[in-house]
Amino acid sequence: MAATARALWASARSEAARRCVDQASLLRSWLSGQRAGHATVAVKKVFPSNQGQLKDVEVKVTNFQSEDKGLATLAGDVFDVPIRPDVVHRVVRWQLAKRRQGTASTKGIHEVSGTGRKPGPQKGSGRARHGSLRGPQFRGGATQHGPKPRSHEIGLQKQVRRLGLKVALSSRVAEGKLKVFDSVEPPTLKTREMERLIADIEGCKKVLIVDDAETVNESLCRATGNLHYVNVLPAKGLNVYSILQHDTLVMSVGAIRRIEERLHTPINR
Amino acid sequence: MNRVWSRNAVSIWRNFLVRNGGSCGYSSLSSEVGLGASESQQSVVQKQVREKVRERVIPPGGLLALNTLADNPGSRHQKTRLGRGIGSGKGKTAGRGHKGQKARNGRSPRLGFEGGQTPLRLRIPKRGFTNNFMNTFQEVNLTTIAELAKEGRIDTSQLITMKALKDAGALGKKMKDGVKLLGRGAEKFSLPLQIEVSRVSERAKAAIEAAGGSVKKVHYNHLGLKALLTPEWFEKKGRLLPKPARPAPRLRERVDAIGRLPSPATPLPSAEAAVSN
Repeated sequence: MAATARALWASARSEAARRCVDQASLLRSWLSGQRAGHATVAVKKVFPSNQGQLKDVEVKVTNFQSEDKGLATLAGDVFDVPIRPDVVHRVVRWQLAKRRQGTASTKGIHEVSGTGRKPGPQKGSGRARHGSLRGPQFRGGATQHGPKPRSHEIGLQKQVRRLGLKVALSSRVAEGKLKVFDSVEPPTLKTREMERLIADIEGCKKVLIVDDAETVNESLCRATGNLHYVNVLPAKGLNVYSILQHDTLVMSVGAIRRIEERLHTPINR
Repeated sequence: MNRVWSRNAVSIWRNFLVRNGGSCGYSSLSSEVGLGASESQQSVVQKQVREKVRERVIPPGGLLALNTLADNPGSRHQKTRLGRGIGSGKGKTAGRGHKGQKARNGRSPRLGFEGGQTPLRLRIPKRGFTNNFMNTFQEVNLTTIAELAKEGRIDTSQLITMKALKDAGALGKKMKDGVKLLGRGAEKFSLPLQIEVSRVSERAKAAIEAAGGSVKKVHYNHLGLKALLTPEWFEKKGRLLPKPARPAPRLRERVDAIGRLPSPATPLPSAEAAVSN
Protein backbone atom coordinates (compact mmCIF):
# COMPACT_ATOMS: atom_id res chain seq x y z
CA MET A 1 0.00 0.00 0.00
CA ALA A 2 2.74 2.36 1.01
CA ALA A 3 4.60 1.47 -2.13
CA THR A 4 1.65 2.53 -4.27
CA ALA A 5 1.51 5.87 -2.54
CA ARG A 6 5.19 6.43 -3.03
CA ALA A 7 4.93 5.66 -6.72
CA LEU A 8 2.06 8.10 -7.13
CA TRP A 9 4.00 10.75 -5.32
CA ALA A 10 7.05 10.30 -7.44
CA SER A 11 5.08 10.57 -10.67
CA ALA A 12 3.41 13.72 -9.34
CA ARG A 13 6.78 15.26 -8.58
CA SER A 14 8.14 14.71 -12.05
CA GLU A 15 4.93 16.04 -13.54
CA ALA A 16 5.13 19.08 -11.29
CA ALA A 17 8.64 19.85 -12.41
CA ARG A 18 7.52 19.77 -16.05
CA ARG A 19 4.57 22.00 -15.28
CA CYS A 20 6.77 24.56 -13.54
CA VAL A 21 8.59 25.17 -16.77
CA ASP A 22 5.38 25.28 -18.75
CA GLN A 23 3.68 27.78 -16.51
CA ALA A 24 5.86 30.74 -17.40
CA SER A 25 5.19 30.30 -21.09
CA LEU A 26 1.52 29.78 -20.42
CA LEU A 27 1.35 33.00 -18.46
CA ARG A 28 3.11 34.87 -21.22
CA SER A 29 0.72 33.65 -23.86
CA TRP A 30 -2.25 34.47 -21.64
CA LEU A 31 -0.99 38.00 -21.08
CA SER A 32 -0.45 38.57 -24.76
CA GLY A 33 -3.99 37.38 -25.34
CA GLN A 34 -5.19 39.92 -22.81
CA ARG A 35 -3.29 42.65 -24.57
CA ALA A 36 -4.70 41.62 -27.90
CA GLY A 37 -8.14 42.27 -26.44
CA HIS A 38 -9.65 38.82 -26.28
CA ALA A 39 -10.11 37.79 -22.70
CA THR A 40 -9.82 34.08 -22.00
CA VAL A 41 -13.08 34.00 -20.04
CA ALA A 42 -16.15 35.77 -21.38
CA VAL A 43 -17.62 38.14 -18.79
CA LYS A 44 -21.13 37.06 -18.10
CA LYS A 45 -23.66 39.72 -17.24
CA VAL A 46 -25.65 38.89 -14.17
CA PHE A 47 -28.46 40.25 -12.11
CA PRO A 48 -29.14 39.51 -8.44
CA SER A 49 -31.47 36.69 -7.53
CA ASN A 50 -33.38 38.93 -5.14
CA GLN A 51 -34.89 40.71 -8.14
CA GLY A 52 -38.68 40.68 -8.24
CA GLN A 53 -39.45 41.29 -4.58
CA LEU A 54 -41.38 44.50 -5.28
CA LYS A 55 -38.81 46.56 -3.43
CA ASP A 56 -38.26 50.18 -4.35
CA VAL A 57 -35.18 50.72 -6.50
CA GLU A 58 -32.71 53.57 -6.09
CA VAL A 59 -31.22 54.70 -9.37
CA LYS A 60 -28.77 57.37 -10.36
CA VAL A 61 -30.16 60.31 -12.25
CA THR A 62 -27.92 61.56 -15.04
CA ASN A 63 -28.31 63.39 -18.30
CA PHE A 64 -27.00 63.16 -21.86
CA GLN A 65 -23.57 64.29 -20.71
CA SER A 66 -23.52 61.60 -17.96
CA GLU A 67 -23.43 64.21 -15.22
CA ASP A 68 -24.46 63.20 -11.72
CA LYS A 69 -27.89 64.59 -10.94
CA GLY A 70 -28.62 62.76 -7.70
CA LEU A 71 -30.83 59.77 -7.06
CA ALA A 72 -34.39 58.78 -7.85
CA THR A 73 -36.58 56.09 -6.32
CA LEU A 74 -38.50 53.78 -8.63
CA ALA A 75 -41.69 52.21 -7.28
CA GLY A 76 -41.05 48.55 -6.51
CA ASP A 77 -44.42 47.31 -7.74
CA VAL A 78 -43.66 48.73 -11.18
CA PHE A 79 -39.90 48.45 -11.60
CA ASP A 80 -39.13 45.36 -9.53
CA VAL A 81 -41.67 42.72 -10.46
CA PRO A 82 -40.62 39.12 -11.23
CA ILE A 83 -39.52 38.58 -14.82
CA ARG A 84 -42.35 36.72 -16.56
CA PRO A 85 -41.50 36.05 -20.22
CA ASP A 86 -44.83 34.28 -20.69
CA VAL A 87 -46.79 37.39 -19.78
CA VAL A 88 -44.64 39.54 -22.04
CA HIS A 89 -45.12 37.04 -24.84
CA ARG A 90 -48.87 37.34 -24.52
CA VAL A 91 -48.73 41.12 -24.49
CA VAL A 92 -46.49 41.20 -27.56
CA ARG A 93 -48.81 38.82 -29.41
CA TRP A 94 -51.73 41.00 -28.42
CA GLN A 95 -49.99 44.17 -29.59
CA LEU A 96 -48.92 42.72 -32.92
CA ALA A 97 -52.33 41.21 -33.60
CA LYS A 98 -54.06 44.42 -32.64
CA ARG A 99 -52.00 46.61 -34.91
CA ARG A 100 -52.75 44.56 -38.01
CA GLN A 101 -54.66 46.59 -40.50
CA GLY A 102 -56.76 43.63 -41.62
CA THR A 103 -57.63 45.03 -45.02
CA ALA A 104 -56.63 42.00 -47.10
CA SER A 105 -59.55 41.26 -49.36
CA THR A 106 -60.49 38.87 -52.15
CA LYS A 107 -63.61 38.38 -54.21
CA GLY A 108 -66.03 35.54 -53.71
CA ILE A 109 -68.18 34.03 -56.44
CA HIS A 110 -70.95 36.60 -55.99
CA GLU A 111 -68.50 39.51 -56.26
CA VAL A 112 -66.41 38.57 -59.30
CA SER A 113 -67.59 40.36 -62.40
CA GLY A 114 -69.18 38.14 -64.99
CA THR A 115 -72.47 36.62 -65.86
CA GLY A 116 -74.21 34.10 -63.71
CA ARG A 117 -75.53 32.31 -66.77
CA LYS A 118 -75.01 28.60 -67.08
CA PRO A 119 -72.26 28.18 -69.73
CA GLY A 120 -73.83 25.16 -71.42
CA PRO A 121 -76.47 22.54 -71.00
CA GLN A 122 -76.08 20.07 -68.17
CA LYS A 123 -76.02 17.08 -70.50
CA GLY A 124 -75.30 16.22 -74.09
CA SER A 125 -72.69 18.80 -75.00
CA GLY A 126 -69.72 16.46 -74.58
CA ARG A 127 -68.13 18.97 -72.26
CA ALA A 128 -67.85 19.11 -68.50
CA ARG A 129 -70.88 20.35 -66.61
CA HIS A 130 -70.60 23.84 -65.17
CA GLY A 131 -73.00 26.18 -63.45
CA SER A 132 -70.94 29.35 -63.82
CA LEU A 133 -67.83 30.54 -65.60
CA ARG A 134 -66.62 32.27 -62.43
CA GLY A 135 -66.14 29.27 -60.20
CA PRO A 136 -62.85 28.96 -58.35
CA GLN A 137 -61.53 26.47 -60.90
CA PHE A 138 -61.70 29.03 -63.73
CA ARG A 139 -59.16 31.61 -64.73
CA GLY A 140 -60.53 34.93 -63.55
CA GLY A 141 -62.77 33.08 -61.19
CA ALA A 142 -63.55 33.59 -57.56
CA THR A 143 -61.29 32.87 -54.60
CA GLN A 144 -62.59 30.36 -52.13
CA HIS A 145 -62.19 31.04 -48.41
CA GLY A 146 -60.02 34.06 -49.21
CA PRO A 147 -59.24 36.85 -46.78
CA LYS A 148 -61.88 39.45 -46.07
CA PRO A 149 -61.35 42.69 -44.15
CA ARG A 150 -61.58 41.93 -40.46
CA SER A 151 -60.04 42.75 -37.13
CA HIS A 152 -57.25 40.41 -36.08
CA GLU A 153 -57.42 41.59 -32.50
CA ILE A 154 -57.20 39.05 -29.73
CA GLY A 155 -58.44 39.73 -26.24
CA LEU A 156 -56.12 40.21 -23.30
CA GLN A 157 -57.06 41.13 -19.76
CA LYS A 158 -56.10 44.63 -18.68
CA GLN A 159 -54.35 43.20 -15.65
CA VAL A 160 -52.13 41.10 -17.91
CA ARG A 161 -51.40 44.04 -20.21
CA ARG A 162 -50.34 46.09 -17.22
CA LEU A 163 -48.24 43.31 -15.80
CA GLY A 164 -46.51 42.99 -19.17
CA LEU A 165 -45.42 46.62 -19.07
CA LYS A 166 -44.23 46.25 -15.49
CA VAL A 167 -42.22 43.15 -16.40
CA ALA A 168 -40.66 44.88 -19.40
CA LEU A 169 -39.64 47.86 -17.27
CA SER A 170 -38.38 45.60 -14.47
CA SER A 171 -36.25 43.59 -16.85
CA ARG A 172 -34.57 46.76 -18.09
CA VAL A 173 -33.89 47.75 -14.50
CA ALA A 174 -32.48 44.29 -13.71
CA GLU A 175 -30.22 44.44 -16.74
CA GLY A 176 -29.07 47.92 -15.81
CA LYS A 177 -30.43 49.15 -19.12
CA LEU A 178 -32.80 51.76 -17.75
CA LYS A 179 -31.18 55.17 -17.74
CA VAL A 180 -32.92 57.87 -15.80
CA PHE A 181 -32.29 61.40 -17.00
CA ASP A 182 -33.38 64.54 -15.20
CA SER A 183 -34.35 65.94 -18.58
CA VAL A 184 -34.30 64.61 -22.11
CA GLU A 185 -33.80 68.06 -23.60
CA PRO A 186 -30.81 67.60 -25.93
CA PRO A 187 -27.83 69.95 -25.41
CA THR A 188 -27.79 70.87 -29.09
CA LEU A 189 -29.96 70.29 -32.10
CA LYS A 190 -27.09 68.69 -34.01
CA THR A 191 -27.60 65.08 -34.99
CA ARG A 192 -23.83 64.53 -35.04
CA GLU A 193 -23.61 65.65 -31.42
CA MET A 194 -26.51 63.40 -30.53
CA GLU A 195 -24.86 60.47 -32.25
CA ARG A 196 -21.77 60.97 -30.11
CA LEU A 197 -23.78 61.22 -26.89
CA ILE A 198 -25.70 58.04 -27.67
CA ALA A 199 -22.48 56.23 -28.53
CA ASP A 200 -21.17 57.15 -25.08
CA ILE A 201 -24.00 55.25 -23.36
CA GLU A 202 -22.49 51.91 -22.42
CA GLY A 203 -23.64 48.82 -24.30
CA CYS A 204 -26.28 50.72 -26.18
CA LYS A 205 -27.15 49.77 -29.72
CA LYS A 206 -30.75 50.85 -29.95
CA VAL A 207 -32.33 53.28 -27.59
CA LEU A 208 -35.83 54.38 -26.76
CA ILE A 209 -36.11 57.79 -25.16
CA VAL A 210 -39.27 58.48 -23.18
CA ASP A 211 -40.32 61.99 -22.36
CA ASP A 212 -42.92 63.16 -19.89
CA ALA A 213 -44.44 65.86 -22.09
CA GLU A 214 -47.86 65.37 -23.62
CA THR A 215 -46.27 65.25 -27.07
CA VAL A 216 -42.70 64.32 -27.81
CA ASN A 217 -39.95 66.85 -27.33
CA GLU A 218 -39.62 68.80 -30.57
CA SER A 219 -35.88 69.47 -30.36
CA LEU A 220 -35.17 65.88 -29.35
CA CYS A 221 -37.12 64.67 -32.34
CA ARG A 222 -35.16 66.94 -34.63
CA ALA A 223 -31.83 65.91 -33.16
CA THR A 224 -32.55 62.19 -33.39
CA GLY A 225 -34.87 62.02 -36.37
CA ASN A 226 -32.17 60.77 -38.73
CA LEU A 227 -30.76 58.21 -36.31
CA HIS A 228 -32.67 55.02 -37.04
CA TYR A 229 -31.51 53.43 -33.81
CA VAL A 230 -32.86 56.20 -31.61
CA ASN A 231 -36.58 56.53 -31.10
CA VAL A 232 -38.61 58.91 -29.00
CA LEU A 233 -41.97 58.31 -27.32
CA PRO A 234 -44.10 60.33 -24.94
CA ALA A 235 -44.81 58.63 -21.60
CA LYS A 236 -48.38 58.10 -22.73
CA GLY A 237 -47.19 55.95 -25.63
CA LEU A 238 -44.77 53.73 -23.72
CA ASN A 239 -45.52 50.10 -24.51
CA VAL A 240 -44.05 46.63 -24.16
CA TYR A 241 -43.16 46.00 -27.79
CA SER A 242 -41.32 49.30 -28.17
CA ILE A 243 -39.32 48.58 -25.02
CA LEU A 244 -38.33 45.15 -26.31
CA GLN A 245 -37.31 46.49 -29.70
CA HIS A 246 -34.67 48.68 -28.05
CA ASP A 247 -31.90 47.37 -25.83
CA THR A 248 -31.72 50.54 -23.74
CA LEU A 249 -34.49 52.62 -22.27
CA VAL A 250 -33.90 56.24 -21.37
CA MET A 251 -36.60 57.87 -19.29
CA SER A 252 -36.88 61.29 -17.76
CA VAL A 253 -37.79 61.44 -14.09
CA GLY A 254 -41.11 62.99 -15.07
CA ALA A 255 -41.80 60.10 -17.43
CA ILE A 256 -41.08 57.63 -14.64
CA ARG A 257 -43.56 59.39 -12.38
CA ARG A 258 -46.17 59.37 -15.13
CA ILE A 259 -45.75 55.69 -15.76
CA GLU A 260 -45.98 54.95 -12.05
CA GLU A 261 -49.13 57.00 -11.84
CA ARG A 262 -50.57 55.25 -14.87
CA LEU A 263 -49.85 51.80 -13.48
CA HIS A 264 -51.10 52.69 -10.01
CA THR A 265 -54.46 53.98 -11.23
CA PRO A 266 -57.12 51.35 -10.53
CA ILE A 267 -58.38 49.55 -13.59
CA ASN A 268 -61.75 50.90 -14.62
CA ARG A 269 -64.07 47.94 -14.82
CA MET B 1 -5.53 4.17 7.28
CA ASN B 2 -7.96 1.89 5.61
CA ARG B 3 -10.65 4.47 5.90
CA VAL B 4 -8.49 7.11 4.26
CA TRP B 5 -7.54 4.84 1.40
CA SER B 6 -11.10 4.13 0.63
CA ARG B 7 -11.31 7.66 -0.82
CA ASN B 8 -9.85 8.30 -4.23
CA ALA B 9 -6.31 9.36 -4.90
CA VAL B 10 -7.21 12.88 -5.97
CA SER B 11 -8.83 13.70 -2.68
CA ILE B 12 -5.76 12.50 -0.83
CA TRP B 13 -3.53 14.71 -2.96
CA ARG B 14 -5.83 17.60 -2.30
CA ASN B 15 -5.64 17.08 1.46
CA PHE B 16 -1.90 16.81 1.28
CA LEU B 17 -1.56 20.02 -0.72
CA VAL B 18 -3.87 22.03 1.45
CA ARG B 19 -2.10 20.89 4.57
CA ASN B 20 1.35 21.68 3.25
CA GLY B 21 0.44 24.83 1.32
CA GLY B 22 2.97 26.17 -1.15
CA SER B 23 5.90 25.87 1.28
CA CYS B 24 6.87 22.34 0.33
CA GLY B 25 7.52 23.37 -3.25
CA TYR B 26 4.84 21.15 -4.74
CA SER B 27 2.26 23.86 -5.26
CA SER B 28 2.65 23.63 -9.01
CA LEU B 29 1.30 20.12 -8.67
CA SER B 30 -2.00 21.89 -8.36
CA SER B 31 -2.26 22.25 -12.09
CA GLU B 32 -2.48 18.48 -12.25
CA VAL B 33 -5.56 18.23 -10.03
CA GLY B 34 -6.85 21.75 -10.58
CA LEU B 35 -6.61 22.72 -6.94
CA GLY B 36 -3.64 24.50 -5.38
CA ALA B 37 -3.29 26.30 -2.09
CA SER B 38 -3.97 29.71 -3.60
CA GLU B 39 -6.68 28.45 -5.91
CA SER B 40 -8.44 26.53 -3.20
CA GLN B 41 -8.52 29.65 -1.07
CA GLN B 42 -9.93 31.56 -3.99
CA SER B 43 -12.62 28.96 -4.55
CA VAL B 44 -13.61 29.15 -0.91
CA VAL B 45 -14.06 32.91 -1.25
CA GLN B 46 -16.07 32.47 -4.42
CA LYS B 47 -18.27 29.93 -2.72
CA GLN B 48 -18.98 32.32 0.12
CA VAL B 49 -19.89 35.07 -2.32
CA ARG B 50 -22.09 32.73 -4.25
CA GLU B 51 -23.97 31.79 -1.13
CA LYS B 52 -24.53 35.40 -0.12
CA VAL B 53 -25.90 36.86 -3.37
CA ARG B 54 -26.85 34.28 -5.91
CA GLU B 55 -26.65 35.80 -9.34
CA ARG B 56 -28.59 34.85 -12.40
CA VAL B 57 -26.97 35.18 -15.76
CA ILE B 58 -28.45 37.57 -18.29
CA PRO B 59 -28.50 35.96 -21.73
CA PRO B 60 -26.69 37.90 -24.50
CA GLY B 61 -29.91 39.25 -25.99
CA GLY B 62 -31.21 40.48 -22.65
CA LEU B 63 -33.75 38.97 -20.27
CA LEU B 64 -36.61 39.45 -22.69
CA ALA B 65 -35.20 39.05 -26.18
CA LEU B 66 -38.01 39.16 -28.73
CA ASN B 67 -36.79 35.99 -30.43
CA THR B 68 -36.79 33.99 -27.21
CA LEU B 69 -40.16 34.97 -25.82
CA ALA B 70 -42.53 32.07 -25.34
CA ASP B 71 -45.60 31.31 -23.35
CA ASN B 72 -45.47 28.69 -20.62
CA PRO B 73 -45.34 25.13 -21.94
CA GLY B 74 -48.81 23.62 -22.01
CA SER B 75 -50.61 26.95 -21.93
CA ARG B 76 -52.02 26.50 -25.41
CA HIS B 77 -53.74 23.39 -26.73
CA GLN B 78 -53.13 21.97 -30.15
CA LYS B 79 -56.31 21.97 -32.20
CA THR B 80 -57.66 18.46 -32.94
CA ARG B 81 -57.44 17.92 -36.67
CA LEU B 82 -60.46 15.98 -37.89
CA GLY B 83 -60.52 13.64 -40.86
CA ARG B 84 -56.75 13.39 -41.30
CA GLY B 85 -56.15 9.67 -41.50
CA ILE B 86 -56.63 6.54 -39.43
CA GLY B 87 -53.67 7.16 -37.16
CA SER B 88 -55.16 10.38 -35.86
CA GLY B 89 -58.06 8.52 -34.24
CA LYS B 90 -60.41 11.11 -35.75
CA GLY B 91 -60.09 9.88 -39.30
CA LYS B 92 -62.97 8.34 -41.20
CA THR B 93 -66.11 9.80 -39.64
CA ALA B 94 -64.26 12.58 -37.83
CA GLY B 95 -66.15 12.03 -34.59
CA ARG B 96 -69.57 12.44 -36.19
CA GLY B 97 -70.67 8.82 -36.24
CA HIS B 98 -72.24 7.10 -39.25
CA LYS B 99 -74.62 8.86 -41.63
CA GLY B 100 -77.69 10.93 -40.81
CA GLN B 101 -78.54 14.57 -40.32
CA LYS B 102 -75.95 15.15 -37.63
CA ALA B 103 -73.19 13.67 -39.78
CA ARG B 104 -73.77 16.19 -42.55
CA ASN B 105 -72.44 19.67 -43.09
CA GLY B 106 -74.37 22.72 -42.06
CA ARG B 107 -76.72 22.79 -39.13
CA SER B 108 -77.87 19.91 -37.04
CA PRO B 109 -81.41 19.95 -35.61
CA ARG B 110 -82.12 22.22 -32.68
CA LEU B 111 -81.72 21.16 -29.08
CA GLY B 112 -84.73 19.21 -27.85
CA PHE B 113 -85.94 18.31 -31.37
CA GLU B 114 -86.74 14.63 -31.54
CA GLY B 115 -87.14 14.14 -35.27
CA GLY B 116 -90.75 15.34 -35.34
CA GLN B 117 -91.96 13.28 -32.40
CA THR B 118 -93.60 15.38 -29.67
CA PRO B 119 -90.59 16.34 -27.59
CA LEU B 120 -90.33 15.75 -23.87
CA ARG B 121 -90.95 19.33 -22.85
CA LEU B 122 -94.36 19.26 -24.62
CA ARG B 123 -95.34 15.77 -23.53
CA ILE B 124 -95.33 16.62 -19.84
CA PRO B 125 -98.04 18.91 -18.37
CA LYS B 126 -97.20 22.33 -16.95
CA ARG B 127 -96.62 22.56 -13.25
CA GLY B 128 -96.17 25.29 -10.69
CA PHE B 129 -96.27 29.07 -10.93
CA THR B 130 -94.09 32.10 -10.40
CA ASN B 131 -94.87 34.10 -7.28
CA ASN B 132 -94.72 37.75 -8.28
CA PHE B 133 -94.95 38.85 -4.66
CA MET B 134 -92.06 36.80 -3.47
CA ASN B 135 -89.27 38.70 -1.76
CA THR B 136 -85.73 37.45 -2.03
CA PHE B 137 -83.39 38.62 0.68
CA GLN B 138 -79.67 38.59 0.80
CA GLU B 139 -78.60 36.52 3.77
CA VAL B 140 -76.12 37.82 6.30
CA ASN B 141 -75.08 35.79 9.31
CA LEU B 142 -74.08 36.96 12.75
CA THR B 143 -70.63 35.40 12.25
CA THR B 144 -70.03 37.70 9.29
CA ILE B 145 -70.96 40.76 11.30
CA ALA B 146 -68.82 39.64 14.23
CA GLU B 147 -65.84 39.12 11.93
CA LEU B 148 -66.27 42.49 10.25
CA ALA B 149 -66.57 44.18 13.61
CA LYS B 150 -63.42 42.42 14.77
CA GLU B 151 -61.57 43.63 11.69
CA GLY B 152 -62.82 47.13 12.36
CA ARG B 153 -64.76 47.39 9.13
CA ILE B 154 -68.03 48.00 10.91
CA ASP B 155 -68.41 50.67 13.56
CA THR B 156 -70.44 48.88 16.22
CA SER B 157 -70.98 52.05 18.23
CA GLN B 158 -73.06 53.47 15.37
CA LEU B 159 -76.35 52.29 13.96
CA ILE B 160 -75.68 49.53 11.44
CA THR B 161 -77.83 50.00 8.37
CA MET B 162 -77.77 47.94 5.21
CA LYS B 163 -75.66 50.70 3.71
CA ALA B 164 -73.05 50.13 6.43
CA LEU B 165 -73.13 46.40 5.71
CA LYS B 166 -72.66 47.03 2.02
CA ASP B 167 -69.74 49.40 2.59
CA ALA B 168 -68.13 46.82 4.84
CA GLY B 169 -68.40 44.24 2.07
CA ALA B 170 -70.89 41.98 3.83
CA LEU B 171 -73.33 42.01 0.90
CA GLY B 172 -72.83 40.54 -2.51
CA LYS B 173 -73.80 42.18 -5.76
CA LYS B 174 -77.05 40.26 -6.17
CA MET B 175 -79.15 42.41 -3.89
CA LYS B 176 -82.85 42.07 -4.68
CA ASP B 177 -85.28 43.02 -1.92
CA GLY B 178 -83.10 43.62 1.09
CA VAL B 179 -81.14 41.84 3.77
CA LYS B 180 -82.19 39.09 6.14
CA LEU B 181 -80.11 38.59 9.24
CA LEU B 182 -79.62 34.92 10.11
CA GLY B 183 -78.47 33.30 13.30
CA ARG B 184 -75.31 31.39 12.43
CA GLY B 185 -72.86 32.14 15.20
CA ALA B 186 -75.64 33.14 17.61
CA GLU B 187 -74.14 31.16 20.52
CA LYS B 188 -70.95 33.18 20.60
CA PHE B 189 -72.46 36.53 19.64
CA SER B 190 -71.86 39.22 22.23
CA LEU B 191 -72.00 42.58 20.45
CA PRO B 192 -74.70 45.02 21.62
CA LEU B 193 -75.60 46.17 18.11
CA GLN B 194 -78.16 48.68 16.94
CA ILE B 195 -79.07 47.29 13.57
CA GLU B 196 -81.65 47.89 10.83
CA VAL B 197 -82.30 45.19 8.25
CA SER B 198 -85.24 44.02 6.16
CA ARG B 199 -85.90 40.79 8.03
CA VAL B 200 -84.32 38.96 10.91
CA SER B 201 -84.55 35.36 12.03
CA GLU B 202 -85.84 34.61 15.53
CA ARG B 203 -82.56 33.17 16.62
CA ALA B 204 -80.54 36.16 15.41
CA LYS B 205 -82.97 38.56 17.04
CA ALA B 206 -82.78 36.70 20.34
CA ALA B 207 -78.98 36.65 20.22
CA ILE B 208 -78.70 40.37 19.57
CA GLU B 209 -81.21 41.27 22.23
CA ALA B 210 -79.51 38.95 24.70
CA ALA B 211 -76.28 40.83 24.00
CA GLY B 212 -78.04 44.10 24.82
CA GLY B 213 -78.64 45.37 21.31
CA SER B 214 -81.74 45.83 19.22
CA VAL B 215 -82.87 44.90 15.73
CA LYS B 216 -85.43 46.75 13.66
CA LYS B 217 -87.05 45.34 10.57
CA VAL B 218 -87.35 48.23 8.16
CA HIS B 219 -89.21 48.42 4.86
CA TYR B 220 -87.63 49.68 1.67
CA ASN B 221 -89.08 49.22 -1.78
CA HIS B 222 -86.77 48.69 -4.76
CA LEU B 223 -86.23 52.37 -5.39
CA GLY B 224 -85.77 53.07 -1.70
CA LEU B 225 -83.20 50.33 -1.42
CA LYS B 226 -81.29 51.81 -4.33
CA ALA B 227 -81.42 55.23 -2.70
CA LEU B 228 -80.17 53.71 0.54
CA LEU B 229 -77.32 51.72 -0.94
CA THR B 230 -76.19 53.90 -3.84
CA PRO B 231 -77.19 57.51 -3.16
CA GLU B 232 -74.32 58.60 -5.42
CA TRP B 233 -76.27 57.30 -8.42
CA PHE B 234 -79.03 59.86 -7.75
CA GLU B 235 -76.45 62.59 -7.31
CA LYS B 236 -74.77 61.69 -10.57
CA LYS B 237 -78.06 61.77 -12.41
CA GLY B 238 -79.02 65.04 -10.74
CA ARG B 239 -82.11 63.50 -9.17
CA LEU B 240 -83.59 63.99 -5.76
CA LEU B 241 -83.61 61.09 -3.34
CA PRO B 242 -87.04 59.46 -3.25
CA LYS B 243 -89.25 59.63 -0.18
CA PRO B 244 -89.39 56.43 1.86
CA ALA B 245 -92.21 54.18 0.71
CA ARG B 246 -94.79 52.73 3.08
CA PRO B 247 -95.09 48.97 3.08
CA ALA B 248 -98.00 47.30 1.32
CA PRO B 249 -100.78 46.16 3.68
CA ARG B 250 -99.72 42.55 3.42
CA LEU B 251 -96.21 43.46 4.59
CA ARG B 252 -97.18 45.65 7.56
CA GLU B 253 -97.17 42.74 9.94
CA ARG B 254 -93.70 41.73 8.88
CA VAL B 255 -91.79 44.96 9.47
CA ASP B 256 -91.26 47.28 12.40
CA ALA B 257 -90.80 50.58 10.63
CA ILE B 258 -90.57 52.47 7.37
CA GLY B 259 -86.97 52.64 6.22
CA ARG B 260 -85.51 56.11 6.43
CA LEU B 261 -83.66 57.90 3.65
CA PRO B 262 -80.85 58.75 3.33
CA SER B 263 -79.07 56.16 5.45
CA PRO B 264 -79.79 57.19 9.07
CA ALA B 265 -77.07 57.59 11.67
CA THR B 266 -79.14 57.20 14.82
CA PRO B 267 -81.45 54.35 15.81
CA LEU B 268 -85.22 54.73 15.84
CA PRO B 269 -86.68 55.83 19.18
CA SER B 270 -87.64 52.89 21.31
CA ALA B 271 -91.36 53.53 20.99
CA GLU B 272 -90.89 53.30 17.27
CA ALA B 273 -92.81 55.17 14.65
CA ALA B 274 -95.37 52.47 14.11
CA VAL B 275 -96.39 51.29 10.72
CA SER B 276 -99.98 51.80 11.62
CA ASN B 277 -100.76 53.60 8.38
